[in-house]
Amino acid sequence: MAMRVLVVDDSGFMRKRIIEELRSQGHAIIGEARSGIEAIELYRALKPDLVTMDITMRDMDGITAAKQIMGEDPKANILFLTILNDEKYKTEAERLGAKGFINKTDTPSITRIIRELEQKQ
Amino acid sequence: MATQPASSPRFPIEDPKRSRGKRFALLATRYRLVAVFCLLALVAIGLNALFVAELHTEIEKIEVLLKTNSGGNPSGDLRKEIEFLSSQKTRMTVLLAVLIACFGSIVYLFYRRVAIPLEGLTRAARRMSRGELSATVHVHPKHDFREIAQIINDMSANFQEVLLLMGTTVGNSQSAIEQIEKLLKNGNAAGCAEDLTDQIQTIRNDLELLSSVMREFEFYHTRFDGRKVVPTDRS
Ligand SMILES: [Mg+2]
Repeated sequence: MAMRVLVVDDSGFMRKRIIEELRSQGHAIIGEARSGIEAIELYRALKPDLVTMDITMRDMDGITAAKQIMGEDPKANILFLTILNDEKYKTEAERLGAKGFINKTDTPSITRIIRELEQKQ
Repeated sequence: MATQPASSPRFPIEDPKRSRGKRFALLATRYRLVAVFCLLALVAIGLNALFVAELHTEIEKIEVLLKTNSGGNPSGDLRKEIEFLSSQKTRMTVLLAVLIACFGSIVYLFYRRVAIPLEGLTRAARRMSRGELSATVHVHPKHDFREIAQIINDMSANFQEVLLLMGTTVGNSQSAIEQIEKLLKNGNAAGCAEDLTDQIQTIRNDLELLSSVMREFEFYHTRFDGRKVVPTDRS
């Protein structure tokens, strides 16, 4: 079953790469956001099945945005895609109940986690 | 569950091809109008100042005339003339002041809305060109330059991402190479062929990733074909 995904990343280049990858797996990209604030607004409006969330962003970082989204919808599926490899963020993400904390370049892991989420749906 | 069907995606990031041209055309028209208005205001101020000066000399001339033939018969008419010209002069001076105030406020608004944001953009762009990729342009939702501010921020975000991605990938490969060296130092290369193959595969994946990132960029008159830099076909 295809997922309806909201892609959050402040870099247009990275959004493009993530979107291409997800589309090639048959998922529908229903929105793009380039900051945490946009992500929250779009989550409310679109109610996506999955959010891929960058961490380092200008206006509001991904962790803060995820906290707010999870606060409003505890069932939200948030998958952190980042190049940050820091235990502090990782434990924070886990504590929030995120579905994963993966390196943006680690396509096999991204594919695997999304497939697991699909099966749970 | 869905508030709207998946087939009608709503992107907050506007379709660049559709709206940008129109908006820039509107902006250009607005600045052209402001320029024409400023020019007209300047011409009006000049003419008005000239007129006030002429009135002034005229009044002075009459006053001199009044002094030389004081007591003469036509002095009553001349006095009336002076009064009329004086009131004209006052009116014209007030108009001149209003015109100057208008012109001044246009210049001030231009400074506030154009010069200050442009200065911010230039400062941030300069810092970024020096490698300070954390520099940020404040995107004011009402400024004419919010679009270019957003583009500058996006450009620096892209740079950061690509450079950090390269850094992590290179680091990953380096640890793979260290692993290989360690395995080779043990002298039993044949016994750990599988480990060696794994590490080589890691390096291959990393290089493939870097290569794919490189291929997504366009460079002046050249492109990266995956192995080397070749000239682009110019048509
Ligand atoms: Mg980022």
